[in-house]
Amino acid sequence: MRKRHCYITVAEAEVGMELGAPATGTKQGKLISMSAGHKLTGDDLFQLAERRVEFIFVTEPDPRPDEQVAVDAAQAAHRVMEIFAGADLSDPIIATLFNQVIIYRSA
Amino acid sequence: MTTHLITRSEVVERSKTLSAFPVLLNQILATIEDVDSRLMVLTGYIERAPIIATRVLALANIAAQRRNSSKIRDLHTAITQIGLGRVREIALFSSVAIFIHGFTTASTPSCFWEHSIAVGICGEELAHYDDTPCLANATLIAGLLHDIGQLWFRCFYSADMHEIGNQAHSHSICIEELERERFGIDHATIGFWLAEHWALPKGICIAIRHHHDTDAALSEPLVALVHVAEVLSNALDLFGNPQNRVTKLSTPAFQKLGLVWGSAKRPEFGPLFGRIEARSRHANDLLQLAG
Repeated sequence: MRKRHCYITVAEAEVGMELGAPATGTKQGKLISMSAGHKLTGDDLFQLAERRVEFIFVTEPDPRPDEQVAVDAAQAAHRVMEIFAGADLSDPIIATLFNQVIIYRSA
Repeated sequence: MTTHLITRSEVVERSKTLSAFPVLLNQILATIEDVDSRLMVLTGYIERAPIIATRVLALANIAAQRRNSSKIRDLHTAITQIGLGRVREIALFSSVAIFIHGFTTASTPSCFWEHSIAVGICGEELAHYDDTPCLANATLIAGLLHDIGQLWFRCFYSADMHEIGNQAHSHSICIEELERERFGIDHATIGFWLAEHWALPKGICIAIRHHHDTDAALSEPLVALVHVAEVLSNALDLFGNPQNRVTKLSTPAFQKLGLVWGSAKRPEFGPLFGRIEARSRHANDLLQLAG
């Protein structure tokens, strides 16, 4: 099954979620480190919260069929173009921001 | 055409007929500097604010439930569990929300508060991105209050603001230009006068004053943070407000935060955008608790 990646706050994390990138945190000099692919347990969530880790990057199954993925991507791109409709895209800074938002929405 | 010139004394005097500025907010901001006593002091403030204490407990229990931990019943444990930074954020959020509620009228657009929250949380995350976490809370407050001058206008010049809003939308003119034409000043200046009157820290006052006109005031770090936060909150369509638009932005402000390709600190937009959206969902949790 296709997977999608996103950042979530540790408060949103649930037992069984899979890390898409390593998560690390320290408390009183003690390091905790979890590697990408690790499935979170209740104790992991407690440890991350205790170390004040704010965000983790997780990988989740994406059950959408290909057609739906394409429709969603087109809608997202259309909305970004609407938001930037009045912007001067010849300005390199605005153009960079526009491109990065399009890339982010397509990921 | 100018129809009525608004003065600082009019702004301050009329603001006194609205809700009183929360003393708690300045007290909490002061705890950021007071490293030694801040946990005890902050807990003391929150114990005297039942609405905020309830929200802290509720949020701690949402997190405990997700971790399959037992229910948290006392404030001290709740604060320890969710962390000082998060508790301070809830307290600031709640104080400003209660205060702003006293400024809103029937003519206030429903998206106003959502836009303010979006700019506040986006600015907070930008402060972390810019390696200035000490500015995160101040940026949150500046973002939440950056358009407070518009609320003042809507309270006392509702019909004019309705007309200005329509004109700005139909002719794609900046609202602040139309405000200056009609009243001699814009909402950023009104917000600045109010912030000074409420004795907010100087950096927050300057950020409110210059959130549209940044380039002359970039020596104050909050100015770039609030301006870029407003642009990014619109670009990322936070809260799905149909009026979210990116029209102009300040290149020096983006450069100051390293959000330019080729700058010394190469920007990583994906993680930054992801974190901003995650923080936005977190804020939504807080809003639901407030409801």
